[in-house]
Amino acid sequence: MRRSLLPAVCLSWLLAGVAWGDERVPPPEFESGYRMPETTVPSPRAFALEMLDIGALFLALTLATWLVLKKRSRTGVAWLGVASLAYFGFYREGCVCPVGATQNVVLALFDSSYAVPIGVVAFFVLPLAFALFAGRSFCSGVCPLGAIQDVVLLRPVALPDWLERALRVLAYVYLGLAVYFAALGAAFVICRYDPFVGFFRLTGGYDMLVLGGCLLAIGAFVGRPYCRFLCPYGVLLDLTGRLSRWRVTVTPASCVQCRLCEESCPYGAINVPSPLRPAPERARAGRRLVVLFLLLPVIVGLFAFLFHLAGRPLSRVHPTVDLAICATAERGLSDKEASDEVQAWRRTGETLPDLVARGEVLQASFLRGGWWLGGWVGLVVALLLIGLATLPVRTDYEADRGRCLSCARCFEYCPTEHERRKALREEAP
Amino acid sequence: MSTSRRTWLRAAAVAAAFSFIVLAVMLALHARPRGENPFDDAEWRALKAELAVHPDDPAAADRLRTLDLELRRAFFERQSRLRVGGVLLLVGLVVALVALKRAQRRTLPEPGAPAAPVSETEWARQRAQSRLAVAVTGFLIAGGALYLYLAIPAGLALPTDGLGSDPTEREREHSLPTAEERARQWPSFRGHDGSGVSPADDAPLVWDGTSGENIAWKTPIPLPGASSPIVWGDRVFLTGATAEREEVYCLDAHTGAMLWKKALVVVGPRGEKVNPMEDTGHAAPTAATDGRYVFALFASGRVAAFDMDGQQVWLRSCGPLENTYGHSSSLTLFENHVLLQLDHGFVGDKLARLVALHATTGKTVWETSRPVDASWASPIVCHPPSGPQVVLSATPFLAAYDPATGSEIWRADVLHGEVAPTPICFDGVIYVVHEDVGLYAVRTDGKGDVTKTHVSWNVSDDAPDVASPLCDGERVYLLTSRGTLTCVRASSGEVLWGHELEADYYASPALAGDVLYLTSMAGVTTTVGVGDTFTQRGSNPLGEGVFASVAFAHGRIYLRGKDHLFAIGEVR
Amino acid sequence: MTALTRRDLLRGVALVGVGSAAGAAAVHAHGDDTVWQIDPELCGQCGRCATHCVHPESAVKAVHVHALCGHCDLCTAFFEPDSKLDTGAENQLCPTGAIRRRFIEDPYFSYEIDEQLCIGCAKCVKGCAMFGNGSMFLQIRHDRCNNCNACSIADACPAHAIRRVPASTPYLLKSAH
Repeated sequence: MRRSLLPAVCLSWLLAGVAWGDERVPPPEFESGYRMPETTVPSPRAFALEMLDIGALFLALTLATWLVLKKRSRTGVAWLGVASLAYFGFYREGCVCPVGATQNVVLALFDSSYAVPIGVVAFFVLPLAFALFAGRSFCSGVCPLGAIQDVVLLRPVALPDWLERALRVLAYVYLGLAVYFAALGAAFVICRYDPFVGFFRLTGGYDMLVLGGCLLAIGAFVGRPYCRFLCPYGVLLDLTGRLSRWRVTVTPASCVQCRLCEESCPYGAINVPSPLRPAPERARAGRRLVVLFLLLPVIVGLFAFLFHLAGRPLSRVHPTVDLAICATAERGLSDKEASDEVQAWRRTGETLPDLVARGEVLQASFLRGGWWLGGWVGLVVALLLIGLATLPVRTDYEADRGRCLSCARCFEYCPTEHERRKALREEAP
Repeated sequence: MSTSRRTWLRAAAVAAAFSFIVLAVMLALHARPRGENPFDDAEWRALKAELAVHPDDPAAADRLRTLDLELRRAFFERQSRLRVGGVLLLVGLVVALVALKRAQRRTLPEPGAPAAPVSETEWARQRAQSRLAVAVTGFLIAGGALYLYLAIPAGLALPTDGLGSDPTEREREHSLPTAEERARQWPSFRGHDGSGVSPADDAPLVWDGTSGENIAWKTPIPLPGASSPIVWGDRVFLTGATAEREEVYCLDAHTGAMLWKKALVVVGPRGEKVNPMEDTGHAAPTAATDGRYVFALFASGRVAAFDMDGQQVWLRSCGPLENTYGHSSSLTLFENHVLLQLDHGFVGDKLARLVALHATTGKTVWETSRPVDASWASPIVCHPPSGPQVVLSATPFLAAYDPATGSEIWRADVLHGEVAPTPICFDGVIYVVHEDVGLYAVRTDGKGDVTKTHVSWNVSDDAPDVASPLCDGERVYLLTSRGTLTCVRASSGEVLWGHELEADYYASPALAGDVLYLTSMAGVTTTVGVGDTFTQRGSNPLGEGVFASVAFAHGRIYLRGKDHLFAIGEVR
Repeated sequence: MTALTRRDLLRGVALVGVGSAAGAAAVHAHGDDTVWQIDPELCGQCGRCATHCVHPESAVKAVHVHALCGHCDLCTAFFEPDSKLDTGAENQLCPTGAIRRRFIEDPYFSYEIDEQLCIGCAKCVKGCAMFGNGSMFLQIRHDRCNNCNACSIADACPAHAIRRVPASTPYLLKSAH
């Protein structure tokens, strides 16, 4: 009985609608003097406040640089990190950050119709410019993603060198993918898979909250896992940091080879002195290097080809390509059965051949881009191998220019630094 | 273990336990379905279904109301609890973390003896291990890429089963009208081909708007406009606008009742305002229809499509249009394209263009820029044997374009000054007129610059400045705004006769059967017989001033006066 | 002595590189910020706005442009299909009772949205678009929106109706011109 009635109800409604469509109700004129309420339009965050964020970023970078390089103060940097975590993290809810701004800049470079706000460009450029002169002070004192990992670090364990180096490859791949997807207008993956932003907002998707929770739990023992092994912007900071004019020097005078700094660094960024090598080892290393250099184009080419192949499945990340595939698959379905996406597309009146043609153009650019993405990954792998085949000559313990996150922990451990501070204290009164 | 350390550890344990409890409560809250979605409760839906069967059961309604209130309350309470829980969890974790750090604080280690350098074999072993690890990682990444390629299908190919190559549902439902169907209607300015010639010869010859003689109906039109009516089936469409409001009207052709009246709905910020002259107004361009949609253009440069039921389907903003008098070119249709002659500004401004919009979506199909001044003429589509052409007139040239692609076919440098009359096409010849240069006959079978090769003849006597020419097949008639009617032989350009009508004219002349309809600004329509001599048939007053041109359809004449739309003919 | 080292040279090159990348990006940049907004013309009322915002209470709300509203007694944005014209909960379409119906004068009623209660589910929008004038539609409310760099509703929107608009004109309201 119920079943038979319900369709009738729907039908009567439909018929009413058809009759109604002809006289779509014109807005009335009121005689009672009734005034219609205006639609409210609450304004977005003021432009001046956005500019203030850039000012805050610049100030925090300057302060962090001064605290690390000049004041050599771990306490100062730690508190600055907490302050940045409170402002850029919890107050600004993690948006916009330089890590994500990379994608906006890349999209603006590849899509002339996308106008990137100037503030976002400033967020991208400032930390890199600082890194070129003074190392990665952004990571220690400014970045909220770094700070939240820094504060949960309780008992750092040193990772074996091989594991550390293997994991570091992931960040390069992530950067490559993020640029790939942003340049092709598919998605901002860095933002979509930001593990900590959910904590800043005190809410978020459960998958990302769980992933972020896991990273933080690991981060209690392995210092800053996201920064070291995943952060795509960290790769850029690493590369620019290597060229920095000034750097973190563990000891203010001469190294006494006490190894304490190596113990102090939770991020494995202290390079240890290398042993002196006799001639046979050097000759073997030389041969290895020649072989690797010869292999370099082969590795790059192989990766480029494999990622060119992967470009086809990866193109499904682009909503238009995915839509074209879905619309083709669902072409036999009625409007009710089709997915929301396909329904929405059908309303636009575009024909399937037109959509497929659009999708093909996009997919072709994914295949082309795949050569570049693969080339980048191959180049990274090859260059890392070449780096491992060279024989560095180092006599002292030093912070690595690229990997050092400027956290200033090593200063606290260094006996020479202690002597300097003592001397300063004696001078002061 | 010092006492303070123990205290801190205890504090940390308490804070951690607190956080754990908060987390557990939040998870429990999350797991409970009630309140997650206020309209997704099973009990609620069951009650709702029951109520649909027994709509007059007060007890059921009551139960539903109680449950509904409970659910809504649960929904908002759940949200606020989760919010508070998040803050509490954060506080608990921060306290635990601080306490743990305090407990951990210890004195720095003393420097030991200088370390012995790493032995060389150990170093070499480590480096080899790291190389292997990086190589394996690279291998795994490469494997991942290969796996993606092999495992995820993402091929894009148009299916060959024919299902996909069909047009979309909407286009299937409303297929484009045939040329014959269009010719029976009056779908755009001066009819389906822009000639002003009625498809039938059953138009009324005598009426009087002041006494109501032979007037089927007259309906007041809310907003002013110089645009002319168009007709499709039993519906008449018209546009009207002020600076603030742009409207499209649909009237019942039988009764004159307003079926719908729709204002253009603009989304987002309004564009710059335009200031047309009062005579032109904001609604000078005549609308066009293909029986599926009606397309309307206004002086602001806004174009909108409405379906036959008055639902706005799309809106495009092509403005603002730099035009001293106000934009007045009407739109015309070619297959599924809406053609807009957007000639505005001056040559140097590089603003003028011809645009084709997709009729169902409003998206730009093609756009051709035109090095011309502003024009007030409308585009026409003609079908010479060489293929369809859309012909536009503006200073300095008359030009034809391929309506499918927008590429220019030919042009003739024959115009200068302000161009208002719309060209007409008859038997493969375009007749274009301008008050300074006179009437030109240009053949359409040329390519490129045809000024020297395809202009058949030119007469410069008494050329009109506003009204468009008319051709009965053998003769071309010209009507100036001062009322001089001139008849020219179409084949040779020989002037056959001229006559002063003693009235002012903006409306373009029209032809039904063998009678010319000439409507003056005062609203008097003079009927004149076609032929090699002037013969006046009659004079029909409307009782209202007229700027717009007449529309013929199904034995009636539709004429827009200053305030009303008149249907002339017998009451049905 | 300040000899130019290889590192100085490379730094110069990197500076030029970063600078020109930023410069090239900034060619199309504008001082004005951008914010996310829903184009009501494209919105398909799928209901995902209510559930896909990063905030548990969505920043998307239904807004009502009263000037476009027909002020009908039988409002299909307010009443369940085929229900009695009685404001009892069983007849209301809105799951949170966020629409207030008020009599103005015969035969007109006004419908106001209580933003505190609205969850952005678009049920009323669908009702209004199907049979009414479309005067109710969804908008992102900028006092609630976080303006994420990648809007998670925009990612989920099947009609791609959410796009970046200049912050100086942050709403895409409908108006009768």
